[in-house]
Amino acid sequence: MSLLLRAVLRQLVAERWTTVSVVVGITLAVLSIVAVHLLAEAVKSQLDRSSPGSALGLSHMLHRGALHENDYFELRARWRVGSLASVEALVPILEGRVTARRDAKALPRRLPIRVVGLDPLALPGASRSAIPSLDGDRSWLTGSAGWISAGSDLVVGESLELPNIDGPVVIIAEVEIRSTFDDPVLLVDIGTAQRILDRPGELTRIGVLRRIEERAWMRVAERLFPGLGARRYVTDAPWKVSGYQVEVLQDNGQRLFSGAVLFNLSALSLLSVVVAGFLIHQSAVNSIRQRERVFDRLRALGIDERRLVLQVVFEGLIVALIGSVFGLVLGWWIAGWLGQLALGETASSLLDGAEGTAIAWAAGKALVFGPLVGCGSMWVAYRSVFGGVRKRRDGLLVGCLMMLGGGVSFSATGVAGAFLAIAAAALAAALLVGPALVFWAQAPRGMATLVGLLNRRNLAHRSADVRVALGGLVIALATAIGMSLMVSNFRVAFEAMLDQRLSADAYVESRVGFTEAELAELRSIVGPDSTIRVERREDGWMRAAGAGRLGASFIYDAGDVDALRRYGFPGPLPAGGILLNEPGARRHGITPGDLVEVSGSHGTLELTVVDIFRDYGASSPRVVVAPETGAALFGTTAPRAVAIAGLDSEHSTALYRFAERNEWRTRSDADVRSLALAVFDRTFRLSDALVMLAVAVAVVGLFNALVAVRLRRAHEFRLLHSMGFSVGEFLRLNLWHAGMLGVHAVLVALPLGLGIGWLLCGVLNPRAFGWSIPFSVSAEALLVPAALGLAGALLAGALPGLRTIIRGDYLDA
Amino acid sequence: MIRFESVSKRFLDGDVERTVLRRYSFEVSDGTTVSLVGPSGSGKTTVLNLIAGLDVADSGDVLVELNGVTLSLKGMSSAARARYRRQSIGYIFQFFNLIPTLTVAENVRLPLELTGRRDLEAEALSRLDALGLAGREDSFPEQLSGGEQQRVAIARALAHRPAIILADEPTGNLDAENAGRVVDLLCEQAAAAGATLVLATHSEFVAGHAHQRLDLQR
Repeated sequence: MSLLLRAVLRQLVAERWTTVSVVVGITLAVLSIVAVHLLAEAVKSQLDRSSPGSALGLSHMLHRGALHENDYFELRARWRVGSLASVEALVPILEGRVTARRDAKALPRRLPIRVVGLDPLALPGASRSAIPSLDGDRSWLTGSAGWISAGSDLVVGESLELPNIDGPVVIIAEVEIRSTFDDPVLLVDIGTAQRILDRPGELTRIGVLRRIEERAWMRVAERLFPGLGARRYVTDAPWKVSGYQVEVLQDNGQRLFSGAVLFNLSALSLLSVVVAGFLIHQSAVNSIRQRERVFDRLRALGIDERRLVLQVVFEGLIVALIGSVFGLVLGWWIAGWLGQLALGETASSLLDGAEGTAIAWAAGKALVFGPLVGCGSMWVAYRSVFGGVRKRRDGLLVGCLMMLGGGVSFSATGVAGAFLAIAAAALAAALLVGPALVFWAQAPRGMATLVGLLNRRNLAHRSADVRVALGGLVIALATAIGMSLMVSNFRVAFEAMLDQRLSADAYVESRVGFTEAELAELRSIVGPDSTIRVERREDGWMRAAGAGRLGASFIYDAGDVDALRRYGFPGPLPAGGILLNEPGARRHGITPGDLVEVSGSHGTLELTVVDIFRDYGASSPRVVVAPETGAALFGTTAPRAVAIAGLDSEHSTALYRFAERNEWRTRSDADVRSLALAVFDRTFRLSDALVMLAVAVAVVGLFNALVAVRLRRAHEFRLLHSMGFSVGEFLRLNLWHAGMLGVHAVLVALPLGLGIGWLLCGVLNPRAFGWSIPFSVSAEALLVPAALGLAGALLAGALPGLRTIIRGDYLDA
Repeated sequence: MIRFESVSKRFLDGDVERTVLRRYSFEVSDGTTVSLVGPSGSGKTTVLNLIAGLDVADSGDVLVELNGVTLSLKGMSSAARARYRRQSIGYIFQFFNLIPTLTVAENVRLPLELTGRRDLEAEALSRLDALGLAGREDSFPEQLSGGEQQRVAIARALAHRPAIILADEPTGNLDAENAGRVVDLLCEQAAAAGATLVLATHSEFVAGHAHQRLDLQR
């Protein structure tokens, strides 16, 4: 073994406490990256399984008013002559709802199902192989077999009696397919579907598989930073087919929402890496400073700078590799726990089923990020100690301010711009924390004891030994404060929205719609003191001036002022007026007073947006229209839901019994509200856990820095010990120093955290999710992270302090 | 009076146990100057640390009589030894004698603050004049020469009127001229204060200043 290598290894052993704490820091950082990566893969695979059309391998749907098989054949002809660029498959689809009769023993006997007919042979090859029994069982061609959507009450082998066809349809397999409705989906041959639905020659839409032009580097970037491509789910389809409306299947809120959450989590996991970089840098600077004479001797022996840098970088590599391996193993283990927090019970099964590629990527990221940060931090530390890095603080500060201003001012920079603004603010604070500490410690004060003076001067005198670690702690605490502010404000706004919308006592849904007789019976059951609000919802389209056409959900139960109040609108809707949700408005740049074109199955209208309402959780447009407007757009449809308010327990029991007999689904708005809040809290618990990891890394960094300070103050401590300083006084001295650093970190982190909170609420959320969060400051959001930072700093100070006392290091001077 | 009664002290040097003092006994009267002479590793610093209560004997005992009361350092708690050190000991080291972030005057005032004897402040600061440090009160240690630093250390060690002054190679880091001046001042000031002075040295010149000489062997 070369002597230099031996020197490196012995150095790591000699400074074992520093080595161990750096390994712990790297482990925590890599752990968070690995855990987020695995969770991202789990979420993505869940989305891939549930995305409409994904099981069929389709990327777009083509719609037009009335669609016939001949249109499909005409489109195929156009495709064959090459006029449909990048299209790989065209699939005719017919969809409708019928009531199926089941076996005598099965309950319920009558079940509404959605029948989806398609030509399986037109599907892309990969999709055909994903449908079980497609190639092995040809009975579906005879119209006697079909597939059922996974998770429904129906089972494989069950026979269904369906209208308009002779003989039963036997379910031959389950298929992963998502429907926007709760009804089971029965997949059959298109001819069979046309007979069942009694719509010969008709189609509902044409499915398309269009090759997505995604560059290889984008796929790699998405793997490296999950959620990076979230915004592609909000881009309107640029692809046009003459005579058809194009629907992009990936354009769904779930993907956007998950992508944005993953982006958020990825950023938080990178936060740990950044803080770990601060930790290593600080430890390296302290270690190199202690060895300055050793380096001088090595130079005197004729060893060149390059070799010395390599030696230092090699030290970083060894420590980082050890930390990365630990982080990888622990990350895999902890991903399950974090998954439980965020996704509930499904997490463990999703992780168990993680693909080899996902695991390989996680390992790759661990073994790249950790060593990269380790080697990079050591290199920068060496250069900064031996003067290779010029002081660029002022330039960096100006750069940070420009990034902050640019990221906030130019909305075109999107989510990345918002994150850059946050990063710039954090970096600026980290750069200023050292000079601020010196300024603060040297500020003139009244009479102080000499020990107090000694402590205060040491804060300034030793600031170079702690400022990087302190910067890491400031960033971690400020992120904790910012996230805490964002979550608390978001929760208040979310709760207010739930209170507005979920004001009923019970909610009853019918899959096939309520008849007038059923509504009358419902009214008699709930009693005269209860009020019933009928809800009508249909899917249609909307188009703003200069923008493409987008699918939109229409709500037209808003016939009275009370109903409109649920959307925060104070009065009745003016004629020709609509309410639009915030995500829809943002996507089209619509403001109140703008005209939009909306269309339904019965017609198209041009209406004015009179107000925009908050709609957390939605990413696509939702439109509230007056009942008569709804009728003009969709005709007379049976209402599928009613909300009942003022229900007492006696009538409530009668209502639930009645609903059960009619196979209606009932739910309590109070339950929905608490469920929604539980999901909300669960989701953000994951962010909390990641922020806590970053704070833990920062505390480890501060611990390291304080160990170095103890070593440098060993002579001073020896002197104080000889002057009769007791164990308790030493502990107080250490705690005072650490506590003051903690207070300083908190004082710098508070304004930075407020800024980050504002950026998250007012800039990042509107850009990433399409919704804004009103910003206000709550004491709890500030005090909890502040207390955490102070406690962490005291802990970081107490441990090396105790060690100094127990081991009597001050005697070694 | 300081009395070592058959004191043994061992240290771990890596995995090897090394006996520094084996059944060592001696007695020093109040107000005398004693030199501990011996080669490196003979246990001079260990003897000083045992007198100061920084170390505790493995066997035997160190007895110190102060104001008619005899203290057994072995039987004292860590806190009690810290109190004893604070009140009764003035320690001077070879290197790093001063707190770098306190000025000369503040370094001298520090033991007074720790013992609560602020009444001695004027006397302690006036000693700086006697030690040739007039006008350097507001300087920081890094602004002083080695000899000046060691003279400040003497002023600090005497400031709270300790009964015992321990000096560990006080001139080891100084040139001959400064060494002579410092040891003269140290002995002079200790005698003036009536304190017992224990000097650890391997300089025959320094040892020659003592009333009593104790030789230590490896």
